[in-house]
Amino acid sequence: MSVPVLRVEGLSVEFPASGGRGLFKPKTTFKALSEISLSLVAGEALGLIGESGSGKTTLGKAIVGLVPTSQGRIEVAGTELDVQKDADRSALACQVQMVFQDPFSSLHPRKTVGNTLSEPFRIQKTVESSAQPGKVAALLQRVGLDPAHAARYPQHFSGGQRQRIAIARAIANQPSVLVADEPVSALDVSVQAQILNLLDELKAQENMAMLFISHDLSVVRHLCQRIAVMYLGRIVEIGPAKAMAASPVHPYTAALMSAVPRVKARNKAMSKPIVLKGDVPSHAAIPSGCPFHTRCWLYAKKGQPERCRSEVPDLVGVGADRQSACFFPQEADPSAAGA
Amino acid sequence: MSFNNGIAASPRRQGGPGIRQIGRHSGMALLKVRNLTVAVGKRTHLADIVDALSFDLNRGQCLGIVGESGSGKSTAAMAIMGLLDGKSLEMSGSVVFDGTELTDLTPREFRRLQGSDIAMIFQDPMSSLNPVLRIGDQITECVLAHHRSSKKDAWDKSVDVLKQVGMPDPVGMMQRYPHQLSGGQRQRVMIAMAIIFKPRLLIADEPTTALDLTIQAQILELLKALSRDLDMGLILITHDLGVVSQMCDEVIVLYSGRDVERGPTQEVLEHPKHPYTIGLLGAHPSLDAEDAMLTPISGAPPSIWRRPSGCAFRDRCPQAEAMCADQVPELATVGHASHQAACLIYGGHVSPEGETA
Ligand SMILES: Nc1ncnc2c1ncn2[C@@H]1O[C@H](COP(=O)(O)OP(=O)(O)OP(=O)(O)O)[C@@H](O)[C@H]1O
Ligand SMILES: Nc1ncnc2c1ncn2[C@@H]1O[C@H](COP(=O)(O)OP(=O)(O)OP(=O)(O)O)[C@@H](O)[C@H]1O
Ligand SMILES: [Mg+2]
Ligand SMILES: [Mg+2]
Repeated sequence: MSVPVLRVEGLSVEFPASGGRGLFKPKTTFKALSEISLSLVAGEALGLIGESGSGKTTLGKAIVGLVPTSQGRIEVAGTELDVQKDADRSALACQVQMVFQDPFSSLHPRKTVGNTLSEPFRIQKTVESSAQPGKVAALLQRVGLDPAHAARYPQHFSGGQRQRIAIARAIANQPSVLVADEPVSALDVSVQAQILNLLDELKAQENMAMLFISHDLSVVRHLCQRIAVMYLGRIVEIGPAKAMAASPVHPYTAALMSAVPRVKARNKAMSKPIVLKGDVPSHAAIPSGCPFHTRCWLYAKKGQPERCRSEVPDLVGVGADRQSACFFPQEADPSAAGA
Repeated sequence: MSFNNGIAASPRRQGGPGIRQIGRHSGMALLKVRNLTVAVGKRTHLADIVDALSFDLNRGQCLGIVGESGSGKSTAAMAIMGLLDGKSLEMSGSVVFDGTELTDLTPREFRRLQGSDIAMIFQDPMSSLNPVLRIGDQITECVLAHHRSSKKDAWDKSVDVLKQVGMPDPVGMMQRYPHQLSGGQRQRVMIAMAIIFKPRLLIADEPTTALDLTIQAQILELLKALSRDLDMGLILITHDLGVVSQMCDEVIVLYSGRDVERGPTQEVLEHPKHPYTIGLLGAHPSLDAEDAMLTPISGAPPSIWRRPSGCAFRDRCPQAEAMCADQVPELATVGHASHQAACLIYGGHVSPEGETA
C-alpha cells in the first residue's frame, strides 16, 4: 500500500482541569484525547463523528499544530513533524490546512475578503502579487460566491457565505491534507451539495486527503470512504463507511445511526431511535471500564456485565478493515439482533 | 385532516388583496408578522434582504423557516427580535407579539421583553458569548438582569438549566471560559441562556448545527416539550429538512428574501410544488441512499442587488418560461387548503406526479 499522507500514532492531548473549588485548586489535567491512531492515504476522506465534546476539534487542531500534544507522533507524507520546530511548522502549514468549526470568529473582521484570501499566497509566496486578484476571484467562484464581493468585509456575509470563505482560504494553496471541521453544518442543503461536490472533486482530481469532522451522518456517508467514531477522547469504532452505516459494531455507533432525522415520514417509523439514557460523563471523570457503559443500551440489555465496568475494551479488529472497542461486537447492531 | 394552523397568506408586495386568514385561532396568534421588510443601502439605492414576509404563529406551535444560505432567514429573525443593525439596515412592517406592536417599543422596553418573554438562540455561539467571562458568570448575570433573586439562587438555576441541555459536569462547566468549550458545548450554553426564563416565544437560528445526533435529538425533544407544556411558540430556522420534518407543524420556504412556498410540513415536504423546494429536497443527502451524486440546484442564489425581474428563481429554474420574467408570482393555494406556492407555472395547479422523490 502507498505511504499514508497523514499518520497519527498514539496521540494524546491534555488540558488543565479548571474544576475543583476552594483555595487549594488542584493543578490537575484531564485527557481530552487518549492515544488516537489513524492514517489517511492520498485522495481518501475519513469521516470523524462522535459525541459533542468527544475531542474531534481537538484532534484536528493537534494535527495542524494548534494544540500541544502530550504524547504520540504525527507524520506527514512519511516524515515526522514536530510542531515545536519552526521549520516543521511551516512545512506542516504548506501541506495540512484546517477549516475551523466556527466560521464567524475565524475570519478577521477588519480585513476584506479579498485580503483574507490572498494571504496564503503572500505568506507562502505561491502566487505573484499581480496574479493574486485573479486567483482570489477564481477561488470565490469555486466556492459559489460572487467574485465582485472580494472588497467586502465578513460581517456583510451570511453564516453560510462566511463558511465558504473559510473553505476557500484553506484550499488556496492546495494542501495535501485538509482537516475540515464541520465545514458544511452552517450551509443549507443546496450550497452544501455544491461544497460537497467541490470537496469530492478536490479529492478525486487533486488527490487531497481529508479528515472530515461532522455530526451529519448522511453527509459523512456521502463523502467518506471510512468513518471513525469518537466517544470521550477515544476512537470506539473505525471502518468502511458503507459497512458501518449498514451494520454498526459498537453500540454507540448504533445509537448515532438510529438518531438521524429523516425527511420522509414513512422512513421515520422504520427506524426507532435508540435514546441514550443517563448523564453525559465529563472528561474529568471518565467512567471506569468501558467509558460508554454508563449510557450503553447493550450493557443494560445484557444485564450489566461486570467486565464492562472493570476492563477498558481495546480497539480490536472485527472483520475486514474494521475495528471496534466493545466486548460484544456481534450484538451491537440492534436491527440484526432483532431488538 | 384538521389543521389549525396559523400561517396567513401574505398580501404580496404592491397592493395585495389584504390579509387572508386561515385557521380557527388566527385571531389570537402569539406572533403576527405583517409585510416585514428589511432593506440595505442608501436612500437612493436600496435592496430588500427580506421582502414583505407575513405569517402568524400560535402558542404551542412550531414554524420552520428554511431556505438557501443568504436567503434572509437570520435577518428576518433579528428584525423580529429588534436586534437589527440600525445603521446599515432599514426595517418596515409590523410585528405584533401578544397584542403589543414591537416596532413601537423603545429600546428599553424591548430589552425587557428580550430574554424573558421572547428569546433567541443565535446562529453563531462564539460571538454572542463574552470571551473573557466564565460561563457561570455569564448565565447568572443574565438571570440577575431579569429577575430579582439572590446570587446563590441564580447560580443554582444556571446549573439546572445546563443540566437540562445535556451538559456534562455542569458545575465544572460554570468555571470555564468559552474557548475552553467544544463547539457543541458553546451552542448548548446559548440554548440554556435562551430557555432559562421559559420564554413565550423562542426563535432558534440553526440551534443544533454543532451538536451530535444524540444530543440534537435531546435538545429538539426539550424544545418540543417547552413548546407543548408551556405553550411556547417556536420559530425554528434550519437547513436540515429532516429536523423540519420531525419538529415543525408548518414550514416557510424563503428564496432571496421572499416566501416561495409555505404550508403544513408533511404536505410541503411530500408534495412540494415550487421548483425551488423540489430542488432543495433533491439536494438533501440521505443516509439510506447509495453513493448517488447530489443534485445541487444549478447556479447560485441571486445577489439582492441583482435579483432578476419577476420570479427571483427563474434563472435557475428548470421549468421557467418567458412569462416568469414579467411578474412577481403571488402565493396561491396549491392542493391542500393552506399549502401555498408562489409560482406562475405550478402555483394553483396540481403538478404532475413523481416529483416528490
Ligand atoms: N482550551 C481548552 N481547555 C480546556 N478544555 C478544553 C479546551 N478545549 C476543549 N476542551 C474540552 O475538551 C473536550 C473536547 O473538545 P473538542 O472541542 O475537541 O470537542 P468536539 O468533539 O469537537 O465537540 P463538538 O462536536 O461539540 O465541537 C471538551 O470536553 C471540551 O470542553
Ligand atoms: N449588515 C448587512 N449589510 C449588508 N448586507 C447584509 C447585512 N446583513 C446581511 N446581509 C446580506 O443579506 C443576505 C441575507 O443574510 P442572512 O444572514 O439573513 O442570511 P441567512 O438566510 O440567515 O443565511 P445563512 O443560512 O447562510 O445563515 C445575505 O446576502 C447577506 O450578505
Ligand atoms: Mg468541535
Ligand atoms: Mg443565518
